[in-house]
Amino acid sequence: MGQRNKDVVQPKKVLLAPLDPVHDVGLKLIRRKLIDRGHDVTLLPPDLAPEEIVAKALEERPDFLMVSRALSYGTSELLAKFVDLCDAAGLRPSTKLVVGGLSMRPEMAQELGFDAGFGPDAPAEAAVDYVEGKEILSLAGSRPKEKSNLTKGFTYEFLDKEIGELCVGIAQQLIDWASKRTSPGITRAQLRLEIEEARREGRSEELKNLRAQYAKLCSGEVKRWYETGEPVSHTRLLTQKEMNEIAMLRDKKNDMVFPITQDILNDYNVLVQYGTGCPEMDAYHSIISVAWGARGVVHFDPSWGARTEGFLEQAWSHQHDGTVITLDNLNLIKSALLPGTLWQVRAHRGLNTPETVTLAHLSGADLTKINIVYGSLGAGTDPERLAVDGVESMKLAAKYNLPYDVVTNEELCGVPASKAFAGMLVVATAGILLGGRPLLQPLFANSPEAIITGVMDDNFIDFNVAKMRTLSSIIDAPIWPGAPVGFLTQTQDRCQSSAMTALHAALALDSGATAVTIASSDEAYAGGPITVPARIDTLKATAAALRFFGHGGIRPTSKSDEMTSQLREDIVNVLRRLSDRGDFVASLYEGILGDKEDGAYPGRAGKGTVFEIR
Amino acid sequence: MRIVIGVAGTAKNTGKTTTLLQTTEFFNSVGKDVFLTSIGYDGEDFDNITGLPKPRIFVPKGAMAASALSLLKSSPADFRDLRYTGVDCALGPVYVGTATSTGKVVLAGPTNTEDLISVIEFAPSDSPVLLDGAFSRLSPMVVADCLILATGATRSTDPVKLAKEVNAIFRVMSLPEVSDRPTERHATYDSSEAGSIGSDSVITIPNGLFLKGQGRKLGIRLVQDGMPSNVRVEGIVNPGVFLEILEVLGGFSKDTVNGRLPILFVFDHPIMLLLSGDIMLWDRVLDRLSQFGCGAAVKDTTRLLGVTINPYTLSQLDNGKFVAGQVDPKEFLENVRNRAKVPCTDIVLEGPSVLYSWLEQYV
Repeated sequence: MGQRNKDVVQPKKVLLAPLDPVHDVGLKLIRRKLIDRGHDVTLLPPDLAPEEIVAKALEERPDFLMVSRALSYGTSELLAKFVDLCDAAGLRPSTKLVVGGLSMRPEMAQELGFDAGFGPDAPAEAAVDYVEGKEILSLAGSRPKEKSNLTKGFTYEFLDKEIGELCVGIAQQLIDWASKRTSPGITRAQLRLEIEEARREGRSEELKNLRAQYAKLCSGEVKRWYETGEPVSHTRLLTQKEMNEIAMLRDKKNDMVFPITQDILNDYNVLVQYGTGCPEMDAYHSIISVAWGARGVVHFDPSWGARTEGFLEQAWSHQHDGTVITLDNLNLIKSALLPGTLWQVRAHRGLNTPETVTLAHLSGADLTKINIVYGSLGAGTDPERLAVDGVESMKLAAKYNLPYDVVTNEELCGVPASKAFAGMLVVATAGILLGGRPLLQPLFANSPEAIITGVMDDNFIDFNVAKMRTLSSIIDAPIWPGAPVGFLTQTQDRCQSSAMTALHAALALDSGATAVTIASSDEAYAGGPITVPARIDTLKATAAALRFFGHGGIRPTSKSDEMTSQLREDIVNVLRRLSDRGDFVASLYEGILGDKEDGAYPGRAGKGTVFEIR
Repeated sequence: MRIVIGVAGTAKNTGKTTTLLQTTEFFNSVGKDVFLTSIGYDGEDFDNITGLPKPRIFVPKGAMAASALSLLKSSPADFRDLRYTGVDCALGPVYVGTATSTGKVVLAGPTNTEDLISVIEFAPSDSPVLLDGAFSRLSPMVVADCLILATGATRSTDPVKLAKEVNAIFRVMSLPEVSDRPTERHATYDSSEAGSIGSDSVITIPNGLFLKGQGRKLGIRLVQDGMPSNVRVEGIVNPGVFLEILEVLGGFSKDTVNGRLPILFVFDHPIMLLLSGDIMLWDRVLDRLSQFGCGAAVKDTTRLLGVTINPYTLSQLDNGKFVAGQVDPKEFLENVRNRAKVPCTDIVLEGPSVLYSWLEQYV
């Protein structure tokens, strides 16, 4: 505002008229702002008849006539009639008509016939901008065109030297162990590159051979599709109509304009998950999410993708949640993303991790996900297999310059944060040693551990803040809580879910998170496709929470300090046990990072598929 | 010669969009490329206020549309030859373009008369220009050569009341046209200022008559200071305010007023009489003028072609949600039609043939 006050402006004559029996607070605020800027402002009393306002305007001949009125079915006709009166009275050529009030949006203002309209979310400055001739700035949103770089400015240096030394030792052992091994997942990732290259260059004979080799490394229904062409259950090929519609979005996306009222999240990296099953719906959901302030979107695939060796080809729609990962699907979705959309392509914690990273690279994704510990202990993949594939994936991500998150969702099984964080730190360290840029993804939720131990009985702030403080005191790396924040605090009540999501997001960002992933308000209990209104609910709630706290900050109690100390101590203890054991993969099986008592079970998918390299 | 056809409503949700669609379809069927624009915002999936589904607007291939640039660009009708009209609306600059394929479009065009005139200049001379109304807005329709009025059960579920309103509108819109160039002695009299009317035979009242008391003041002066033969009232006229003049003149004889010939009141346009106050009062005004031997005329007019009747109703539940319903379409139409002095049709009930019969003269 300081800079604004120094601008030289041409004073304008503004008539403010509350077309309302009582309320004129908004206009009084605008009056103050306009007077501060040197404009000639007259505020009429409330409850004048439209004709009286028009008569006054004919006397005053203002440059702008701004009216306020809460909108309802009946009052909309009143406003339309007012516009007609102004037009017929000959005011329009010299006087811009502006309307503001509850429920007002630019589309509504246009329908009523006003030159501009501002709703309750619009800042008073927007009206001032409009008066000063900055129409475009006032009415069109300024959705960022540049993507956020979530890892920019982080040194990846360990601030906690003791933990750093332990992590480096354990991670190096993991890398060394994996370097002597391979798996069908790693081979398929290589074959996928060759298949796509052959496909691009039209080498059909070679393509056929490569596919045959690839098919041999697949399992279940994916293998059957390569052999017989029979679709995987609950999938169908995308229709030409659907592909045309995505192409329409691709062609129109650069022309989409969003109102300023949706700009409030611009300063934050809030990402949303999509995965409706249908690439066209994903494209719409992505555009809508970004239109409502999300900086990025996260692709996730069906859960059977974790347990089935191999990916399909072509463009598919999937009947249930999760969108099938194929290069065609990813390319379609990518083509429709709005400029500046950060795009994470993640596989579902299983047997296709290296190929997911490869496809993320080929389709132009900005981020991916690699999760050795959670995939092993909470999601059903054999630890040995995921360790080998995970290390290879981190090598690929480094090669392709793709940052990735390392998640701690095993907390959802009941694994304590100390064990989950120790595992995450080791995997992230391995990534750093391999030249990558991992992002730490702590769970930001009412985890089973928290429920059982009661650390969140009093409030949801202390323990979550303790997690953030612990991690940021250990290593200078980006922290991206999720995914999504507020997990296990949401219910089938959309208001409650939006509020919980918003408060968790605000807390995470206030605690220094680089980014957050949020869920839609109906995501946990959708019982069907996630709806667009639910997406917007959550984004708007998050924006409102961030607006509410502003720079006021959220203050945890002193218990958070105790929790921080305890968590750091517990992490050190887990890392020492890992270090003493000297075999990271064996530690996964043996429960050092989560045992049956914690609800963690070493997965079995892909067991026996790791081979030593001779 | 270019023909400009307006589709206006007596209220929101009276069937303007459906009427516009059928009008577009008519001209398309006879091989005429229309030029479409809206004085508001129309063609969206869901109503901005009620949240209920709305009929979409389809433009045929070859048609032109004037709308906010962002809306033309996002239309699957793939508009080409986009040109800026020099007019801006609440959703940004208004452009014109030609549809290269049939497709949906959202219209957001010029919202005031002056801008509308500028935008219409972009229409080819042989293209019928279709103006889509908004809410009960009428003012920019002064640029239309003819008007189709949409009304229906959202305005009133009482067909008798609806027919009376339609007849009042029709009566006003049927006022005769007179020359815009009076040849007699001419003076301007501002009803808000003091001063003598004098003996001029023609006086002009600028800035309309729409504030309570203005009519009485003017009436007194007409009686006291002189009685012109011709009073030209520019701008908006409220029938209640106009009645004040007649109440003052009420004590005078039928044939002469203050020893002078009866007055001819000349208004800008019938639409200027329909923007303020209770339209039904014009019946009383015109009756009384007739009783006094005075006349009423307009400088310019828009012809009312007919009225479309929509049985759609809307009610709001306690939770704020709107629910659509309808009265009996056949009975409703017949009850209005039997009382109305202007042609009526329900496009959905009867098909578009009646509407088409109104439009055939413009082919």
